[in-house]
Amino acid sequence: MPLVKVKNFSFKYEGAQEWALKDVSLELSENELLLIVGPTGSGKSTLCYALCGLIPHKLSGEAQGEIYVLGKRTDQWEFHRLIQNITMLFQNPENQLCCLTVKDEIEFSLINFGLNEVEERVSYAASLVCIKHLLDRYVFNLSYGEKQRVALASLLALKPKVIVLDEPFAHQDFFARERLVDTLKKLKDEKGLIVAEHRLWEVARLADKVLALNDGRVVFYGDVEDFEEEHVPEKLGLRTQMESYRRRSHSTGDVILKVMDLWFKYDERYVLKGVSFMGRKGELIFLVGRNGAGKSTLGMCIAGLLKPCRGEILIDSKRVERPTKEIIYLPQNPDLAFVEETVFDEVALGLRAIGLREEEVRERVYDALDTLGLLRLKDRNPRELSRGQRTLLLITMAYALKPKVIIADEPTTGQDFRSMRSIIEALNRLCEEGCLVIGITHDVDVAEHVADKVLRLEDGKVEEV
Amino acid sequence: MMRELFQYVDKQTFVHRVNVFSKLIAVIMVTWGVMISYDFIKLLLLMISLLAICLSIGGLQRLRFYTKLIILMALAIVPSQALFYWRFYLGEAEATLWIIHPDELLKVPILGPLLFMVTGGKGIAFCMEGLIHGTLVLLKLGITWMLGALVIMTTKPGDIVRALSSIGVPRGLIVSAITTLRFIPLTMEEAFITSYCLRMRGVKRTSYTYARLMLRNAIYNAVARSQVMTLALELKGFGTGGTGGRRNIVFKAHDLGFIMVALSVLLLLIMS
Repeated sequence: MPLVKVKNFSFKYEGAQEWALKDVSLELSENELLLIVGPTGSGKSTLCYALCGLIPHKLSGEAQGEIYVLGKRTDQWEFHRLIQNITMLFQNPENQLCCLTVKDEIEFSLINFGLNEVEERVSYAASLVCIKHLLDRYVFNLSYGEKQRVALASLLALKPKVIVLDEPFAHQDFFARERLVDTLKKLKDEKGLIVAEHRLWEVARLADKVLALNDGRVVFYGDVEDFEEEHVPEKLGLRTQMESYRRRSHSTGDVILKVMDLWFKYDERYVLKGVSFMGRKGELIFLVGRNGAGKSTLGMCIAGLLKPCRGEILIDSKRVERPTKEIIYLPQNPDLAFVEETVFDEVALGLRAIGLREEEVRERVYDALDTLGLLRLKDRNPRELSRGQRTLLLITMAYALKPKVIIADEPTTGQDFRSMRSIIEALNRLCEEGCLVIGITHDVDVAEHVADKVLRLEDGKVEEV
Repeated sequence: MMRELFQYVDKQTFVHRVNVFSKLIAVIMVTWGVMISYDFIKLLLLMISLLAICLSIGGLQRLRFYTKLIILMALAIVPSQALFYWRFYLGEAEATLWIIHPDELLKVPILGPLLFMVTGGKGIAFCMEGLIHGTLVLLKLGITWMLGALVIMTTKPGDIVRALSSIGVPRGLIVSAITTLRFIPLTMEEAFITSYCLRMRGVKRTSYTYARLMLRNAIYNAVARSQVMTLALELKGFGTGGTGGRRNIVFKAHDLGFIMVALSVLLLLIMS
């Protein structure tokens, strides 16, 4: 008997016009890993919710077809029994940790379910994802990868038969990704796994079957070999490798940014220890490093958001001591920057605030939206856009303000290949306008294929790669 | 520092050992006493004692934020109560010092008659009674905050959540409580980024637009986060109708002792 069986399942969210999933069928047996792929917005997360019973138990809408878990339909299971057999790890671990220490977090679900052998289960789950040494640590002091392992351990402690993971590789650096692959290998020996992902090369080597979704429909379901032979990733615009991307020619513009002997510490721990580098007009620099290496801290120091303990930042020979309109920092989470109800108003906000006339504002907003390909979305709410479009909107906001330096924090993280390509093209466009762009990423692969210069931040120091 | 505000302090003090129910009972009793008491000296002494306890548990760093908050409230409440004391306008309190006498108001063109009308013909006066009332309100608010801080600093969030759940507090409220407890520090960091994003686009920090847009962003993000958090909690068996979720809470000697102390404070406050 398969662990999970889906027969012609379709689902439409309450109030939605279109089906999020249409006629999806799949099967998962014990010790199998099913990889669900598809571009952003193809219905991967909705399918994950349906598999673990959140649809129809907790999220309402119109459903057709059947989903069986351990031979019983999900709508016939009592929800609290179902989720002890099949559970789900969400994309962002930050939003699923509610306790203070790692041990409390793992115990939390066990106590909620009234399970007895709490200590043994905590120990089992912690050793499976190698976090035994973290049990007494505060959750908020952990790195992103560690938080994800804690969230996974809290689910593993329930000893479910199937685990669904929604884009687990999205925000991880190389080392964390390798560790996650090892964890998945171990888990596969004991359970059935379903992984929704659009970074293919790491999971594809572990997968037994692949299900490709596009606009909520299955476009491929079969073996990994056939998936590659039929060129499905290319057809869907999924990210396999970065070779196809053309590297820019090196910029020879004037030096506009000088970072000299920059030191910064959190409490007593130095994260930047004498960072120095220069940036030229029209240059695209990528700053790479592991999660928690201090890349965002360096970005914020350059933008004047954080005050370094020592060192200088010069823009056109002028010292930067506080935020200035000449340097714009684009946060990793675009939602933090969105405050208006339409894309047009979002871009116009900065131009209105500096006192431009309404005609001039309109002209510049239309020009920016047109240049970066968002004009057709001008009346949409920024929060309704896809992740890729939201990052593009953030870049458009900066483009309209015409700063000298733009610092983009993890612009390509969590993006499918098509969105990543648009974002990189947008950043290149900014460089062509004479702006120095500093991208921050943990994805060395992206950086090496698109940047003029790659700087690696390690142990508080930078070196050119 | 932001992440550690409003957070549990991992120590083994007497208050840490008291179970969460005893703490909640004690807080309810003392808060009730504080609300009905108007004894300035007793409230001041209680405030100082709580401050000392919080200081010994959380250290100066943790209390800096609360101190700033109290100073801010003092600046807002005390002068407003001293200058615009409601009982003065009802004719139940005497003016200690006239700031603007009603007779003087009528001599000032336009603004004078307007103020005369707004103040009901009473003018503006400094009232000692209002000053005392304002200080009392401030003390009461300060004590309530300190009590909240004491519970947060000495109780693990998971225990608070389970205690609320087992006394029948609605699940929606508990999810809000978890979101608040867990995410206040993170939300503050995010507000810092949003504030920067607005300023870099030229929106002035002192403008109404800034406040409106900051609030809108905070609401959108809080709603989005709560939605994911709710689903994650459901998957962890919280509020799904599972069998467990309630640890048997045993009242030990120190719990009873703690409640007795709270009861004594309550009696002291309500006895004239």
